[in-house]
Amino acid sequence: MIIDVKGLYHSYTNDDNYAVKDVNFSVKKGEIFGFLGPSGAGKSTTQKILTGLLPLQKGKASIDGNNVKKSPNRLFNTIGVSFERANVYKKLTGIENLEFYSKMFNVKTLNPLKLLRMVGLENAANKRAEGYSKGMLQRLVFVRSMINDPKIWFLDEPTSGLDPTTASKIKEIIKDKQRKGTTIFLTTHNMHIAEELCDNIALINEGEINLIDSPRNLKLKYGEKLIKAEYKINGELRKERFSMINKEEIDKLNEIIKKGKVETLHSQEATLEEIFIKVTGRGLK
Amino acid sequence: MPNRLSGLLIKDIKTSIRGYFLLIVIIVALLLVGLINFVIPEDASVEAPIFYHLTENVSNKQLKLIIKDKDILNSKDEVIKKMKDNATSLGVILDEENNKPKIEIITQGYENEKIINTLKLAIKEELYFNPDEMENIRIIKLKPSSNKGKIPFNDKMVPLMVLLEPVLMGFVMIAALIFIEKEQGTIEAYRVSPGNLSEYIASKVIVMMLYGLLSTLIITIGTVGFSGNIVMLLILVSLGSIVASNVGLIIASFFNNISQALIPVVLTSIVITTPVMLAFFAPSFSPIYLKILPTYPLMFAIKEAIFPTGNTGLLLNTIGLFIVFSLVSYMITILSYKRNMIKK
Repeated sequence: MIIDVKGLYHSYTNDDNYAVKDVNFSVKKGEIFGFLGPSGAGKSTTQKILTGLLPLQKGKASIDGNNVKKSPNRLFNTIGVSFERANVYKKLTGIENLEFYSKMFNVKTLNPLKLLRMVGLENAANKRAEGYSKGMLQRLVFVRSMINDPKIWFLDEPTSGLDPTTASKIKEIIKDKQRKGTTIFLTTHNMHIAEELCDNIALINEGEINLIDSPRNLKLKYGEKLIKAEYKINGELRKERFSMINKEEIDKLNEIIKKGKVETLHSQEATLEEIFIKVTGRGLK
Repeated sequence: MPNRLSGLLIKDIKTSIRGYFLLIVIIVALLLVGLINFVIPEDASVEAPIFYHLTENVSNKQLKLIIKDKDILNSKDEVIKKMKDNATSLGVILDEENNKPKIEIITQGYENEKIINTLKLAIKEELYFNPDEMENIRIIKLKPSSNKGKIPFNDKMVPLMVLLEPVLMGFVMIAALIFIEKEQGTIEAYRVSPGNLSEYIASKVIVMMLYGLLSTLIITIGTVGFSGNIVMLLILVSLGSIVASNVGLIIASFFNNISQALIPVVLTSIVITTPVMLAFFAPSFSPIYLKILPTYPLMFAIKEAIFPTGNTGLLLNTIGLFIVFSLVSYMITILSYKRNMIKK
């Protein structure tokens, strides 16, 4: 296992008020592992402990065989971290930010301009970051985390604040890195990105992991098969979802079909958000 | 590591220049040059002229000696009239009674007892002064001063300005620089790279030192020119700036933003500068607590470098002391950042 976490606890107030409690999971090499949960669930806290930004108070955590409590500085040559916060030097240009960061590593780094090109920032390469939009800053933070071509990549809400086209570009880059063997730890509250990218997902709420499985298995285990129908009653168009395991709802749908009132009919799976609500009792927002 | 430090230096120089730090340094240095050259007078001594009148009764040889080379007026009334025209002046009427000197001192009325007593002592000294005794007194100088001429009052301010601006500027500016980075969250990004704290701190301290040297050159060349021991001055300023920057960083490490840190930073700068300023104007003011302040020997060493008197021992001792201070403060800065700022 490239990331291994056992019995992880963390309290910001150094008491029994834990931000994460008894968190256990492991990530295989080359896997995209998603941490799905709402704001304040403990996703970023876990990532900060793994990357050494927060001290390991209780429990065990290792990255590539190195205990995160004593992880040597050279370990960071193999790690990339993309933050949700746009923490770049605002007085430096996009390319200067990347050039500076590339000098911090003892390994061969990627070409800054090529990286900027990958996320469509080549025209803003020589513009100071203080003049970037929120989305541009997010992309800059994202490519900065790739500069050392990391073996283990931590991504915190990588598509947050991006337009659909750019978000799609980012997702493609993530998939491509996985194909090349990078292990990715992704924290998000966005069920779509988790479903689309992750091999395994941990559902985290109030600091505790409720479930870990692949998106498909989660749907099979916890999802309800549904039929979404659009039909007319007294000339009025109605939309309704019918459970395929509830006899009353199956009968109702049959009745509508028999009367020939159906306009459209689609099979529908439960979303990860619905599963999340079912498991944790709260939504992802 | 050299690659990393150079990367950090380039970044810190660029961000500080673009954040107007360099501009502030140059403007403040030029303002100080203007202040020294054009505002502070070359001679700030306040002289109190003394008008004398010698009555006809005087035959005493010593009394006549007192008025040698002095302003002698014809009458007491004339003395009073002159005194009314000059509010800082004093009057002395020399008379004789029963072959004994009789002296009358006329004051403006606001003079304190100290001034009057000083004048009394001076007159007494002159009354019993024997010029023949002076012939047997010889003065031998073990360390002849290289600075023969009298230093104008405004130039005397230069060492103090060098201590306050180039040296202590780093103290406040480095705290500002660190809070900008903390606010932007860039420290977090640095911490997930192989870069370490010692290089991160060293880079900032070096940048402040460079600004300090630039400021020193502007102030000294703009006021006293190339006189004095420039090399020693730059070494002293470099070391002083390193220590001041480290102290600024240590204080900043306990706070999350500049507004929280402002009062402790300003208070500390007042505590370490005000007594030293007093000592600069009155060197006899040197209580033990003042001598403990690192700024105390530094100020006199800077003064020695700018206006050499041949006291190389003071320069070398201060340099040695500040090398130790620099190393110790650097270590404490690293430890305090590991403990306070970074772990938050």
